Amino acid sequence: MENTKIRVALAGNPNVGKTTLFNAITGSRQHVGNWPGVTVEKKTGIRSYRGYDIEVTDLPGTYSLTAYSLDEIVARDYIIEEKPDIVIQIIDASNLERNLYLTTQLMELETEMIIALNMCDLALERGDKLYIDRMQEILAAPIVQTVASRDIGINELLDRVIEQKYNDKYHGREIGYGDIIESKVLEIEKILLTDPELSKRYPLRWMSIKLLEGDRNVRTKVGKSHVSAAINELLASIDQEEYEADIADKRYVAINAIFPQMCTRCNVRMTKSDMIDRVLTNKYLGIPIFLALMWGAFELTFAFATPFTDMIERIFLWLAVNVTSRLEPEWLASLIGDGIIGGVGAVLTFVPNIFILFFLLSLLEGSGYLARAAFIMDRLMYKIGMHGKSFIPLLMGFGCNVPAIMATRSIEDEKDRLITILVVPFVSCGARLPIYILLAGAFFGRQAGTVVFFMYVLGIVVAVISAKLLRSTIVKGKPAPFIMEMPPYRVPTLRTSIVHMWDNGAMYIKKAGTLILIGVVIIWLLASFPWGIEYGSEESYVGMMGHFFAPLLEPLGFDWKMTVALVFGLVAKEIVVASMGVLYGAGDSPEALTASLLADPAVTALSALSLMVFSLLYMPCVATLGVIKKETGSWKWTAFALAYGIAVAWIMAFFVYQGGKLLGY
Amino acid sequence: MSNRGKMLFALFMGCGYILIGTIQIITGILQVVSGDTGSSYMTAVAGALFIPPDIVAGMILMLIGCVFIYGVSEIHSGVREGIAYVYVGILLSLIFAGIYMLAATGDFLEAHLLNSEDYINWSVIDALRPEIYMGVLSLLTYLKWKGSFELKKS
Ligand SMILES: Nc1nc2c(ncn2[C@@H]2O[C@H](COP(=O)(O)OP(=O)(O)OP(=O)(O)O)[C@@H](O)[C@H]2O)c(=O)[nH]1
Ligand SMILES: [Mg+2]
Repeated sequence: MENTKIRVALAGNPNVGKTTLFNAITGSRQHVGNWPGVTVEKKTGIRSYRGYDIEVTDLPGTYSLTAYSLDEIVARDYIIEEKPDIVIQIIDASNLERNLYLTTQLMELETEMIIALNMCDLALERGDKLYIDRMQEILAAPIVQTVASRDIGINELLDRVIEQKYNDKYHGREIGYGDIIESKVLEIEKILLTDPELSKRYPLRWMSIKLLEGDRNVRTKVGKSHVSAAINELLASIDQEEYEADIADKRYVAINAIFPQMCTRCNVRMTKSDMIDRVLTNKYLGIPIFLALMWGAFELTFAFATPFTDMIERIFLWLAVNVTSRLEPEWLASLIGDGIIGGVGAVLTFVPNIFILFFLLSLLEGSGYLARAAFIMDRLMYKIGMHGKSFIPLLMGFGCNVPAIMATRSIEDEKDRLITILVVPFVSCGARLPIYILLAGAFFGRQAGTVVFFMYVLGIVVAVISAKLLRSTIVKGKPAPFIMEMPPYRVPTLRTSIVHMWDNGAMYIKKAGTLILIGVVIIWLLASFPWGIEYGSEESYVGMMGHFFAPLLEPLGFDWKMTVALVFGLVAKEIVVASMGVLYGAGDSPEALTASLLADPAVTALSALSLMVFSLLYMPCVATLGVIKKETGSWKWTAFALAYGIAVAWIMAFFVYQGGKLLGY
Repeated sequence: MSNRGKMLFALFMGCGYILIGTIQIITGILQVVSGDTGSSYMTAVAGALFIPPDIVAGMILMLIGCVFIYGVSEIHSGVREGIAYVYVGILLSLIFAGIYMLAATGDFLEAHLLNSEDYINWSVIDALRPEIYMGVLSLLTYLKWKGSFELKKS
């Protein structure tokens, strides 16, 4: 027998734990982060439970159901168009009052609703009292207490879902908006009723209220109907802005009336979180402390990983020596030894660094500190012409620029969003880390961690300055004002951090085995032909290619091998390291890549630094360009991102190299 | 008067961190300028206190010191919430002690597991640096005062 299917949607404010709950129910591993706006697309998963297939959809977080930004529209449209059987609203119990605003709107959608009172642990820890029975009565919906991050209350929630499925009479409550508004609502409802198509599909009361609020999205829905003329006439006769404000007001009045009956807040203690906040948001100390902690993260990424990277390097060296000396014919030995082991090996050597850095970033993220940093920077960012919300995509860019650019969907204003998309690629992603580790480790010894830290800082600084530049030239205008919401400090869960680290590390390894491997083979082929030349010499095809482009990059201190590496790095930045592995490793006796770099007179500490700067800034990788095209929908802006990136990289590297030479390095 | 105790402790830690940080920055600059630290009076002090020359690390020590001192000045002028600075100062001091302990673990593995050439002369003493011993001081104090950092809101 087929299982009965129940479709459930998870709705709620941002950062209340929707994705955590989704993961707990379905066993998936969607990204969870301690800041608002992590999920921007809906995700679906299935859980079989007691003979039912429960199909769960995780929606982006929204404060209300107006349709101001893309993620709000995604969430709302899912509920009203796809009509899930049950909507679970996840409420942050430690922040009940604000979460109720969304509840009042969800109730108007006339769907079956269950409330998951999440983060009960935090509310109780603080000493709040929650009156669940009374809450159930007032909201006329079943309430389940959960702690999603520790899998508490999940089964009870699923039981309620099944119960509610058969308890099918909708019996929600609604807010009264007062005589004046209510009479208008009735009038509109009457008009809408004459279109059976509309009245079958949408809750009419909700639609009428939205029309009074001036919701454009709903107006287009009505626009196709034959009633639209009558509606327009009616709406033209009222002051819409006044109605919109009035309706919002009435909702707050209702919340203020019901909130005290549901919960008493205990608010007398200065918690550890308050104490930490007081210091970290200090005018003078806040930013230095942030920088210090980031520096610490890079120092550790470097220092703690060294023995592990050394170990991996030795294994590959051993392989190169032993496997290749036994392989016949010679070309195969060279393909495996110089090409694959040299190139892919060089990339894999830095797996420990990647793992450690992502673990640390995930700790910072999960604790809520990164988002606090955004708050500290908010005023600064505004002055610079960047929207405060832009900081979150910038931070996500540390992992990979692609999801970071997608995260800009939570930015409402088109101009703000465009600027953010264009500057995100300057933020140093995980793929660039191996380049720094290789070069800084080889040329800067104990200071390597500091050098890597400054690369990341440089990325952010260039991004921010570019935003300012764009604001005052091509994308003129002021950023929309914005009040950043501060997520609370939480002890980051080890599980989330490990999952985050593992997912990013695995992605890196997978890329090394696919894209990078293909790249390496191509470079090896180009380095071995035309027939009869010495492998990797200047007469080979890569040599010719390098010499062709070299004049462009010579002022930056790059020899032809670096040039080739950069050209191939256009596809993915890990390939820069891989192709250096293929090209510099070439020689009679294989030695570690670091050693051959140090031995090559063409590479100095200064040219290494210049190479790091150039790799950081030059052109986003192909995948990022693809997502820029997709999100801006414009080839013009994509081409701009590419050209601008290369120009900035060239200029910066030029200053580093020529400036360094002037100073006598 | 436990706040008085905390204030004295913060004063001591603050001065200590700032002093050590200063020495570390100066020896760091000396090293960059002249290539080696030579055998000045300063380097003798630095050596005795296990302070490696390192400009950035020195700046961070000074920062931790400033956090403590900021707390002292707040408590001194009657702001009870100044305790928060002492608390965060201790946390920072523990975090950086942790970072260098892990770094030392890395060095230890290099020296004893991999027998790397660069680490032949490495001994546990080389791992000792101000971040670590100051961190131990913080840890002991924190354990002693653990419960007393929560404050009633005024
Ligand atoms: N203490 C505690 N923390 C929780 C609980 N549930 C989730 N968290 C944490 O809350 C943070 C936010 O969780 P997410 O699942 O990303 O929140 P979300 O609602 O999906 O957020 P958006 O996608 O931005 O709308 C994470 O740091 C979780 O670890 C809980 O019950 N108790
Ligand atoms: Mg989410």
